[in-house]
Amino acid sequence: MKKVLGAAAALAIAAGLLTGCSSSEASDPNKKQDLTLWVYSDFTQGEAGAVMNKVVDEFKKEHSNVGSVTLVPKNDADLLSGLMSGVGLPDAFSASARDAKKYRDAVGLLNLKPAFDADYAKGFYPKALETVSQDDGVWAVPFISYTPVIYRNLTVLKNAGIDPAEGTPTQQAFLDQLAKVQASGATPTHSWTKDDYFGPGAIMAADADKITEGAQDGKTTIRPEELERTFEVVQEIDKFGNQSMIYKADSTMEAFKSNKLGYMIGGPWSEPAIKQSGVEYDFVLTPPHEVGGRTGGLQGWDFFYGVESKDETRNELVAELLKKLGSYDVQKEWTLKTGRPTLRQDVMDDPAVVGSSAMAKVSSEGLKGGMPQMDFMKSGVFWPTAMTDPVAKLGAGALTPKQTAEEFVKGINSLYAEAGE
Amino acid sequence: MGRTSHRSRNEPAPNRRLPLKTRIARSLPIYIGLAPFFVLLIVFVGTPMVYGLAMSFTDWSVSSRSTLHFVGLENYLYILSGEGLGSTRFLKSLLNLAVYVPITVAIGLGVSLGLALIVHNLPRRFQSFLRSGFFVPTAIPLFLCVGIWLWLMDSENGLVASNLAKLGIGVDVNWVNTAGWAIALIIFIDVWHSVGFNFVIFSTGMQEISEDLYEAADLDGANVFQKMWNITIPMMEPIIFFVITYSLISALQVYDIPQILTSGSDPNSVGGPNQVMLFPVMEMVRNVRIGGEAALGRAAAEGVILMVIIIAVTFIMFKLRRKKV
Repeated sequence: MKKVLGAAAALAIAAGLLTGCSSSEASDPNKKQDLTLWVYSDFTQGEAGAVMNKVVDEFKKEHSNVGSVTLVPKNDADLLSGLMSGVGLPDAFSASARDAKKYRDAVGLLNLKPAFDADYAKGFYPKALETVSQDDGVWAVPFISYTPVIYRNLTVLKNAGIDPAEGTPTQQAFLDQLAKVQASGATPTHSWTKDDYFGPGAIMAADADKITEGAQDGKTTIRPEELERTFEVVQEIDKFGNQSMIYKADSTMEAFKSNKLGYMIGGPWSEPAIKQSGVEYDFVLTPPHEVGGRTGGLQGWDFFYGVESKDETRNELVAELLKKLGSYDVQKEWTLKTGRPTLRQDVMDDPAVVGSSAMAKVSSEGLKGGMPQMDFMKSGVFWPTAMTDPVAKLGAGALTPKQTAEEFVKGINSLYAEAGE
Repeated sequence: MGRTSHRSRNEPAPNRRLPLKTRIARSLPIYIGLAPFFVLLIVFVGTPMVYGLAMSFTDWSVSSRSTLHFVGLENYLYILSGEGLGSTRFLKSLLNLAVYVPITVAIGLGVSLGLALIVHNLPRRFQSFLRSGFFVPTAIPLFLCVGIWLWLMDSENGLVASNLAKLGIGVDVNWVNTAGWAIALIIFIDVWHSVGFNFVIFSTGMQEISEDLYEAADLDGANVFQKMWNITIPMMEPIIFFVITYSLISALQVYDIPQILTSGSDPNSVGGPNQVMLFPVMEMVRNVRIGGEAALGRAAAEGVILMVIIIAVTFIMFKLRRKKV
């Protein structure tokens, strides 16, 4: 009898496992679904948190079969290691577009194409839409973007006799202004070579039209001569930089806030701390080479991704939630409340948004001319990062701009080799 | 002299003379009692180690979870070859480690032992106050320690850096991003953070030394330094050995301080420009984050190499101690 019962139990377990392994099917549509969304930790705080919570509340009201939507704060590193283990995956997550290929390779991403009808899709920047649309599927909802800006301390500029209204129409104009600040006795700027790719990358993006980004036979198609001008400019700017200051350091921010530093590169995330200090400031896009030239720096993008759950009802709910997050109304509210730019062009061109804050206005302009940091979703190689080492050597005088460009190209090839692309 | 047996009649016979069933019945409770320990050991120590070792021989990457291939020693040969980005970075991290470990352990040990010896010779009423005082940095969360030291070492306004600059040390140097100075900064932070822990261990050990020894030395006319050298330090030998071994193992796995100092959203920027602050565990994490071809297999191989180094260093320490004893 015991043996019979044992065999029956084993059969029941096996049947259960087989059922669990079956292909996609719909669960009871009336059953309450509890959804989990991993988001950047700043999406759960302040204005951003309020917008997210409002979206979740509305979504729950709109869908009677949603029991709860839990927002779990995670950063990119947490996400990658969590997702790679392949267990305990959330229903959806927000993450950098830089890791999009890894997510596609590692996770069964939910195809959002059914949710992307023509009317909905046309509002996104064409490049963003093209990026998430691969192999007859749509694998993410484009969400936020950022454009690097140069913060200007208006008190320092005034003391140096610079009229802020002049702006920084060209890189040469920027260099002239740095010289004026130096002559006034203040520190013109921080080091542009001793940190990472961020500052030099913004300068490089002004030459985006000439840079032949791509890869062939595991090597970059970028040629060193396309980058020489970038490093010449970086070297010139760096001559005015305080070499013990890096843009990321708190002490650099303090120097700016205490009217000791004229120009500081940063992103939209730097603004709240500057605003809070009460210092007189504004910001401009990184300058183009020539008047009216390309500007906007290297753009970072973040997406919302869904995870394929093998449950049609759940998949539909996740797609609906992500669609809502990427909708015109939500992204507009997001930009108005947080001041952070989104990847919906209809939002970023909306006069109400452009007029809502200086950051929105500058970002709207920057998003038109900026250069994406890499070939998001198609490649896993974040190639601008390879400039960090040669640029540091450029700053130390160990390399010429030409040699820096050559080293940079070698570095990009090392990244491609490492990634096996 | 012949062997004699003094076992009385009432003593139980040795297990080997008993029937198997009785032997099992007798030993079973012992094995049941030990079982939880071995289960936990296997689950939480043995399995991850064996899994990591096995994965180091595969092309494990974020995309190859279901299609792993055995690649033999390929990952090891690559990371030790000196060719390619991952290899040059890993070798640089080992070089940084070779500089960092002996200096940080020596300074950490010297400072904590020195402080413990000084405090031990102070009146008792000061001892507990100072013990708590020196332990405070250890209780501060590490990211806060790093933040504090970034301010102290800011070359413009930092209290420590500007005073060092007055002495001609590190003039106009960015301590975070400059080769050599970056490792010095980590050593400062690490020693400051960990000295309290070692100090408490030394201090507790010193309290266990019998007062009789010091009284006998007093009768012999020994001064403070003679008592330290001839009584305190020899009696502390097992504790000093423990602290050195523990510090070495911790230092070999250095990660958090340099990671906080140099990390950003870009995994390749970890370790700073030209890898001035890169250490093996950080490079392993970079491999995990970049997740490219065989990246996780390489990270596992780097972990195995580090484990071998740690085991070798610990083995040498025990050998040296045995020789001394």
